[in-house]
Amino acid sequence: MSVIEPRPRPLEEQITLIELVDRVLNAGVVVHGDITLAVADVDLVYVGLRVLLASASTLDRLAATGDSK
Amino acid sequence: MIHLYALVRGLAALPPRGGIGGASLRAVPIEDVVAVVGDDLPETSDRDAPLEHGLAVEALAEVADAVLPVRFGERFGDDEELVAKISPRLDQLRSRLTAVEGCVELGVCLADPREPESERAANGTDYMRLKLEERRLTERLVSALHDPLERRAHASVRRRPLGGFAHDAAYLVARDDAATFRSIVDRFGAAHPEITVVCTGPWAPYTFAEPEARP
Repeated sequence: MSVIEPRPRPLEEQITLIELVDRVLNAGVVVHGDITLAVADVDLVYVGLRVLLASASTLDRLAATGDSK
Repeated sequence: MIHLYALVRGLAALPPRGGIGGASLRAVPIEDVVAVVGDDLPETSDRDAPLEHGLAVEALAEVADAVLPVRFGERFGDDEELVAKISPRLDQLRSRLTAVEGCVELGVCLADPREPESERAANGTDYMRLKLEERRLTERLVSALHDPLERRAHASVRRRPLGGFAHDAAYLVARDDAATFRSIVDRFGAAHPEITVVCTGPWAPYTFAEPEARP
């Protein structure tokens, strides 16, 4: 009997969310010279996500190599 | 407090999807440019707020002729303060609106997940030699990807790659050309199965909203 593992969010979807949040926080028109972000941990969130993304692509690749062998 | 989402031109109607926390959007005309705002936001946003800001901007990009996304966190006491801050920059904003009209932004990242050979170097000299060789190969790979994309795009901005990426760039592309642009990136990825190439978007033109390319 096999147990079906819940699938994590597909890589594409993770990347999409990361890229959007990254843009929202770091790009776009700036009106006030210096914005104090009123969001807790936001810098850590987006940097962390980008690092996660790089690791996720590595994992996907390893998984794909494992499957083909 | 009002929260500014985007500056737009040619907005027929506000999108049904609201802004942060589902609050409704409101249009503030400043001559021929429209500022899209939300009212009565709490002082501190939760972690979903940036994502909801982004989704509201994407919804605006679907319905307006031209959209300049505003960076998350731009807040004003009232409409009067907003108009006073935006008005001196109207000429510049108009010219950016013209530059991005009919265009979308696409993101392209390249990551090389292979373990560098230099990690296994026997000594310092070998390490330096391998390191240089690796850098040359990466540069060649990145320019094989980037150069044709740059030629096809109206504008492009390369960003300092973070978190293991060798290339991280944004391209301003005609909306009608986005599918072809994406297929060029996909073909490159298929031709180089040893690396990861990702194309994201289409996005509202965040990276091209300010006149200077950001570093």
